Amino acid sequence: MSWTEIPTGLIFCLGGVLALLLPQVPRKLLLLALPLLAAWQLLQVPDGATIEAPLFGVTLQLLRLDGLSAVWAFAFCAAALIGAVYQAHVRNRYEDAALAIYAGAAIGAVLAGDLLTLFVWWEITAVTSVVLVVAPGTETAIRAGMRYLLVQIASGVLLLGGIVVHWRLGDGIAFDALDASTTAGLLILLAFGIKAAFPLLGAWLSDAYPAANPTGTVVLSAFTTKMAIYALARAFPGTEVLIVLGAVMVLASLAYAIMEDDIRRMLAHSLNSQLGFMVVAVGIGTELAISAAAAQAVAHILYKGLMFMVAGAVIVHTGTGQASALGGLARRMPLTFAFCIAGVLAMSSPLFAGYAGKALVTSAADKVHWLLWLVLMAGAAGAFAVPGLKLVHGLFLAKDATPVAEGRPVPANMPVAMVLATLASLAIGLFPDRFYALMPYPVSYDPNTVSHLLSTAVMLAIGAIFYAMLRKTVYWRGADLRPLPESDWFYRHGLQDIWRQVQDWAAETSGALTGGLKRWVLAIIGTAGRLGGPAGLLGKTVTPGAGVFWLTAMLGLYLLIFLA
Amino acid sequence: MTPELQLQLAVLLPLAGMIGIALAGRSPNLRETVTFIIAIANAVNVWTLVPKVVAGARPEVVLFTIMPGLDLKFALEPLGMMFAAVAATLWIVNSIYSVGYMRGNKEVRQTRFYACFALSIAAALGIAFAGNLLTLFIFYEILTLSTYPLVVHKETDEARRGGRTYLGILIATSIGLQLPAIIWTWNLTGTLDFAPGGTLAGKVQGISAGVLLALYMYGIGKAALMPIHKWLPAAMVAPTPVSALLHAVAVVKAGVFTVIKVIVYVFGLDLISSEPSTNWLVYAACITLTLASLIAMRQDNLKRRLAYSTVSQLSYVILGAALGTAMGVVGAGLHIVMHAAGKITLFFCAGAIYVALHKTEISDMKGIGRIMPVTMACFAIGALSVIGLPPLGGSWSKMLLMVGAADAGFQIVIGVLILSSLLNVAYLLPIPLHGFLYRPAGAPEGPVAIKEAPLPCLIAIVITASLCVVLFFTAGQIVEFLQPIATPVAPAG
Repeated sequence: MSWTEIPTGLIFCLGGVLALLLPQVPRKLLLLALPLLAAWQLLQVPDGATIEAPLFGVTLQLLRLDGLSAVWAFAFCAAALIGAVYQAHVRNRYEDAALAIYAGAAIGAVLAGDLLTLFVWWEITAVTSVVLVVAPGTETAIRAGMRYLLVQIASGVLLLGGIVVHWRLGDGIAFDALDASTTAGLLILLAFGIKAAFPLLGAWLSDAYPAANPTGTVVLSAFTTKMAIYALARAFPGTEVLIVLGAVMVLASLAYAIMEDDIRRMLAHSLNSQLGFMVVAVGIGTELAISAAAAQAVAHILYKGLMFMVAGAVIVHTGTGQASALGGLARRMPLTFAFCIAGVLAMSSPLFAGYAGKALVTSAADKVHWLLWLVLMAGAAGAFAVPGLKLVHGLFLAKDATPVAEGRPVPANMPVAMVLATLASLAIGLFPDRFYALMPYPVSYDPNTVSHLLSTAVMLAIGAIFYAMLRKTVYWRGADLRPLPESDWFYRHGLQDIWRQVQDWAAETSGALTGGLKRWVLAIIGTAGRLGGPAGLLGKTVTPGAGVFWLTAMLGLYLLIFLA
Repeated sequence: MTPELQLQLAVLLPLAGMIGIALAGRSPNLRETVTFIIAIANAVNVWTLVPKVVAGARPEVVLFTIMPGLDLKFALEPLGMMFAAVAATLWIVNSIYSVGYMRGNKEVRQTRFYACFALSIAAALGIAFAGNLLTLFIFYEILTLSTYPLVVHKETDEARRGGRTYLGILIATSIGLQLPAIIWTWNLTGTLDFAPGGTLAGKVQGISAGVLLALYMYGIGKAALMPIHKWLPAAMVAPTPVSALLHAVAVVKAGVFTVIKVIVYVFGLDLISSEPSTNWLVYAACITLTLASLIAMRQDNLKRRLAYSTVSQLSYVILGAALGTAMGVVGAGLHIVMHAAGKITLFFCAGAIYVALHKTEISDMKGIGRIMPVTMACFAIGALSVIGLPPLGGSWSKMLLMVGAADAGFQIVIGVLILSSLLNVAYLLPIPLHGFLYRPAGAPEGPVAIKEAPLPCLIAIVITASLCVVLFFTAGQIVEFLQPIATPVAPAG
């Protein structure tokens, strides 16, 4: 057995277990070596090769390297490397092991040739990534982690349920195109949809990612959602409902990002919005569109990672992540400021990766309907305003917040990781044709045409105007940003609070009816206090049991909407 | 050695061990040596039977004839072989654990403890190899009686109360429901033998099939189908090694093993899958497995939470059998193995926490992951296996149960299993999560001092936790091994 016959994900898993036992320095070296080792191994695996194993009367395909899976596998190797550099200063063996196994599981999942193998890696990403979420060890992080875990495992078991139904109907377990209109297909689509943060199903993203350590967020931002995009591209290309869902993601998540003060949460919403681009592309499903989704996924891993790294450096330095408390950081953190600009450029400007990706997506969308093109352009313009200009201007240039106390130095490995991401993103932007040649389907496309450059210029201008307008309205000094309610409200608070409220009201009303005027007054004061007080409607936490209940209720609702 | 002889030896060895342990009672070291020698010899004996079963051997041996047509006999088939192998293997691990636990806790009357333990194992192996319903019934009762002294081991009022519930429910259901069911079966078919494809096919139908099934299912109280489950939480007053091997493995698995045996070899899968009046069992199992999880969520005592979790997991096995499909039954058999490894790990950890820190309530366990990292890591592995997450054994048995449900056309069951996995997450994973992430209450600043349970406990925990991982990769072989029990009915795959 040659070493190209070992599933790549397994190499990471063994490395991760080893990392648990090693002391700091060798562990960090191992973490850096693993992605390189995996990439080197994958380079030696011939295109189209598979590793097969029999189980329960079917054949598993532990590895399938083809055009589509290769893009994601190599992108994940790069992300694992950048993540390892970025968290090189963190002295936590659990986080290191989780990074290795989590990255490996994501790579294993995209290389899976059958649905059972996919399921196995799918669940392993859930269990290992939660370690990164809860790593800060705070009450908030632990609670967010528990919710995150429940949602992620819900995705996994739905996937398993869908696989089993699909398999026993005689359709085999091959991980290829599926039909979303069957029960099995629907269950699998839901499972993918949870991890791809579809509307209403994706609240876990902005709930959990900002709870992690600054380094953990960077790692988290790369894998789970892009793995889900791969799964969608593999199983549901051309499923039209995805176009609508993707468009909703692009615009709705943008609104959430605008109304968010926590910079990492804002970036998480923005990440969700950018995922919409890929979901739209998968929904279009032409060869050009699938290549576009792949290109956008790669670009997105780089520029969104870069932005999260900038946010992480800011948080390490200043100790806060609230945009309203920050300002004028450019002088204190010139290097980070430069990377922030690079990140924003990488997202939307020519000569960078994001442009190469987005140009492809918008072209594919334009072939479907001009309205879709318009939605995507609006989304891109909005993303340039928030988080783009909001980071560059609001955090680093504008001086409208009282400066926070002199900060801690940013560890040297952080800028190194940012350099890596910037260079990779620049390389893609400078040589788009070579980049496109790596995509799953041959793309002969030149993003640097006059019309594209022109429309991009207009888009950026609109974004800038939009940001200026936001400065005058929601972002004026002292404005109180109220985050918009999200769908996880249903399982975090929702009907259980309403029910409790109804019970209280009922008790008070019946008391008031028998107790005269004084009781009435007390009842009104009591109700007002309960609604507005710290224990009011939006201030409570939830038990895991109730969480499960509401999660299930929401999934049921989703099923109903889809089947109707 | 002939397989027939080996069958008898499997029951006689632990019995001989019991006598040896009683004789060596004055010297604890000698007594434990006897336990180990017997446990290892027994496991070797049982495991050497496995290749013979794989090769197709189905040895039978009549011990003696009560009256013509009514024998006391042993017969070997894959399901019993698997159960015997699980019990025999885990007996060794459990003995390692017991040494650490009983000595670490300075328990009294350890000789009685080890002797009764050996007797219980003999009874469990008797059940595994039973060749007909009568033999099975006799060993079933021996198992109940031989575990009673273990349950009341502490001899406190609480222990006696628990023991009364334990004995009362198990004896009452077996004499009151199971025995009539056996007599009814004899009346219908004229035989008590286990036969591939079942003996009741064509002999009973309609409502009486449903009633007969109900007599069996509620008569086999050890399978803890609600509302006959109260004895299991009551039995948690026993020392933890007892809870671990007997109330997570030998006793409860004897219950669900009997359930599978009755459904596969007495009713037959054809009868179960074609007779609508037996469908109630699917729903009863679904209700039990969901309700028990919900109850488990509200338990603060760790062993009680695990006990309700066991009730829930036992119903997975019953469910798999009740579906009446080949994959369902194989999945049920596989789940016996997977759950045994996972749950024994969890109980071992609960006991280790008790020995090292004298904590029993989950709300007191915040931060113990920092004091007992190995124990808590293994707890997490066991918990993930019980939930059914890869790369641990439990994931495959849950998947096969889903497959069985899909084959039987009970798609709703898949939904129940999905929900149940989430419930399992909600009541099991907060324990290691809180254990690792919080600081222990009252701990001084700086690194927390590590204080694990005695080494033998730790060794046992690591072995069973590793087993959960190993089983993930060997599930395919176990399924192949079990396949023949369902093949007379429908080709699997």
